[in-house]
Amino acid sequence: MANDLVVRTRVAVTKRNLERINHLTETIKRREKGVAEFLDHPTKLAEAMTSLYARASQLRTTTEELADRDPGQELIDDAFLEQVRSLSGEIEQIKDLVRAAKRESEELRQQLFESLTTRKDVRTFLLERAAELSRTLTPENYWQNHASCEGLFYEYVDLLRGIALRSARFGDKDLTIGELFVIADELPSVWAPLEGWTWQSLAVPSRIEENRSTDAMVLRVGFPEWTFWALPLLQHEFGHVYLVRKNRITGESQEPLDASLIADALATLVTGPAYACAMLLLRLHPEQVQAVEPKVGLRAAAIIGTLRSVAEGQANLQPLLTLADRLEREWRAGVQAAEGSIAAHEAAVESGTWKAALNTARSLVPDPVNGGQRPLPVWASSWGTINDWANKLTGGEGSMDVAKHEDETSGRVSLLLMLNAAWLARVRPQPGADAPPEQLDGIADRAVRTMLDHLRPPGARTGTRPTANVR
Amino acid sequence: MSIEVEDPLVLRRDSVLGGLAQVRQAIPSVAHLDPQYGARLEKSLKQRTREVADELEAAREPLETLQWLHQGEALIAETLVVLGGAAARSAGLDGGVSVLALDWLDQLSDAATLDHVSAVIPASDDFMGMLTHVVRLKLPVDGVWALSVATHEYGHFVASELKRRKDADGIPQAILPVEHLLAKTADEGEFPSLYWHGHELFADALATWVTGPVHLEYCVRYRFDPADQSHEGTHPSSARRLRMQLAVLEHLATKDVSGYLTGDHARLRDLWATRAAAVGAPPEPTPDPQLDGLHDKLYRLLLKSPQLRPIRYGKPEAAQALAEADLADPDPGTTVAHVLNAAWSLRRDVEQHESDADRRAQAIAALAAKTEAAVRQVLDRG
Repeated sequence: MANDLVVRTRVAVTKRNLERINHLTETIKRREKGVAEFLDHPTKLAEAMTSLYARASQLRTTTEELADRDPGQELIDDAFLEQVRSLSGEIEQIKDLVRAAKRESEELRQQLFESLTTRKDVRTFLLERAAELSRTLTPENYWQNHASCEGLFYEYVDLLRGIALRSARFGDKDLTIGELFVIADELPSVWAPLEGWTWQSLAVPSRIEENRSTDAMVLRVGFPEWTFWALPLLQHEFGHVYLVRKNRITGESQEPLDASLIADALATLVTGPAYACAMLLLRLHPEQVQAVEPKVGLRAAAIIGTLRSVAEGQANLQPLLTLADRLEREWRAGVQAAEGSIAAHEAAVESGTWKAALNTARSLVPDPVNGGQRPLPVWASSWGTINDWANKLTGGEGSMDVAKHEDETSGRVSLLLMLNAAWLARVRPQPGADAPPEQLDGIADRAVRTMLDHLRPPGARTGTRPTANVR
Repeated sequence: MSIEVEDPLVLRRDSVLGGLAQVRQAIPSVAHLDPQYGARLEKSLKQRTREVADELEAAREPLETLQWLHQGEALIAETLVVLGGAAARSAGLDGGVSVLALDWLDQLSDAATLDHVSAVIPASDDFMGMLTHVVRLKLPVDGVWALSVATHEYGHFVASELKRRKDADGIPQAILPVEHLLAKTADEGEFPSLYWHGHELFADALATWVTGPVHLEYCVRYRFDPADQSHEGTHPSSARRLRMQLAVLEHLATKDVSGYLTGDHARLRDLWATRAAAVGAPPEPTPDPQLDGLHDKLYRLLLKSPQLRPIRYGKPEAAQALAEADLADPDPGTTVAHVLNAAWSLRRDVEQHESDADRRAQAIAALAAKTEAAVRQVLDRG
């Protein structure tokens, strides 16, 4: 019987920590408590002002009526009437100021506080798992469960750190980290549900990105990629989450390289060229395209090949094929310039490994291949709209009606379209048409503002997030 | 005993003058048939008949009299067609397409600061009446799919109206550059048909300039015969006409950052090549130095005209976005050309994915109705 002091001490401390995880929601609420109470003040003041304003208005109305009743009798002194009017006006101004403060406090509340109420996966995979482990942990089974406990602790720390970073309002003058991650949270909603499951967790800023499955389904975005342009990279992480989830249902498994290629193919199918551009131009290292280690070369080939496969045979997607061709040329030039191996690149393109991964990916995502009413990914069937928005982001006239591309079943599809539009403005099928460097910040800013206004209409609190259904 | 008979030319002159007077009297009846057109036609036809009658009365030399006789007879013939067309329009024989076409051509004229055409009417053939400025659309009309034909006929009108100021020894002169080029080429080549062939090429070029791939697509599918290699009569061969349209589309593609027009150019070029191969005909026109030279000059004239720039087809992505929205709620700035391109894109989708012939025909008919409504919406918005 394992009852030595070493084990007993560890079990006690571990249980205490597991309970702490289980009370994550309360932990966060305690942090918020003082600030939340302070942010309630404008609302309370606004309610009080309503009564005061009503009385002031009534006083003014009565005074004016008395003044009008018999001008000759001078029941009401002019100076008095003027003072009443002035008082009423000042109260109205204060009321407007309080209303504005109420709106600002609500916006600040949205930025500062993360509600975990809708984060079902955090509850299911972290909190409930922690509670279960806490109940069942004994000195006898401690060492078997030690790794699981450590995993939960890592997740807990990352979650707390991520929430703190998101709500700290760090960022530049145009965009906070929190706002960026509000958008990031919504990206997984565009994936089709898997046996009724949709992702309901959190994207957090982190030091490095996590490729292995996380129990709480937390998606990590590593610095220095906390930028609008890098947002599509998140889809690779979610591709892994999706694949792991699917494997749990089917009992299948893949080697790490194949899993990575499948995640890349999935992310490209679901996200579009924005993912391809982000991966090839921001993430993958062309100097690592080498014969001795084929991973990077194969990943690039998988991404470009997947993009091509969507466009081939589609009468209206010739520009997409042209874009895929350009990306391959640019990647190849990058490999050459970075002294990677061109031979390894060409071998990767010809390889059947990524093609097999693409076939697996297609079987997991119902839209692109299996026919039905939507034989194309939604971004591909909206390529004209994406082009149109790309022009508007670079200063063209006209508005972008983001909302009309979404319904209850589509998830936050408009975010995908906007990401693709921004990347398309930056990287066109023909190189000479790319937006000049001095326009890129403006493009990103306009795209982000449009997305945030859509996710959080000015003056409104965010409601429950839409969940994607089978399209 | 010999009977003195009047000079046949005099008899003919009197006959034509009488006919022109009857035309002036008959013009108001157009308003009975078609109130919308009555007002437009009355002014232009009355003015034109009076001009020709005045010239005919003033003519003294036989050659001059003959020239104005021809004008008068042609004007009477065109008026007959106009009356018939107005009746056909009011009977709905054209399905309402000529109304859409007229409003569209008016918009183009406003944008290019050109005069308006007088009317668009259904007729037995496509034609631009150069005397009456009435555009005829051939019956049976292929519905809204043939709407782009109006821009081809409009191209003839533009050829006759497009002016440019030129300095001659320090004195500014207004010239008609297209008409001048065509007349000069026909004269120098001692081949009068060059004038008409060149007119057709310019009209084709203008139609593509305005509509992008749409008119090309319509011609390849409905009108052009790859086996037709001859250029007799007033029209050059289909292959030569297509070559001009492809050249203009290729130029439009150089201005298009989306890449759609490059794809359309390749697709239509390949479609033509396939059809030509099927009948054993070459896709390219037979070389002809005179027509080749005329092609280049007309092409350059079109591209360089600042007056026509406002009606150049552009932003094909707007058309594709409209197709993705199933023609609903066109954005401000959407043109009729965008709507037509969107409609053709949707039609190709139907043709690609619907294998049952009856369902395909029904879907295309429904699409045509939706397209007409969208064109109307864009025109009404102005």
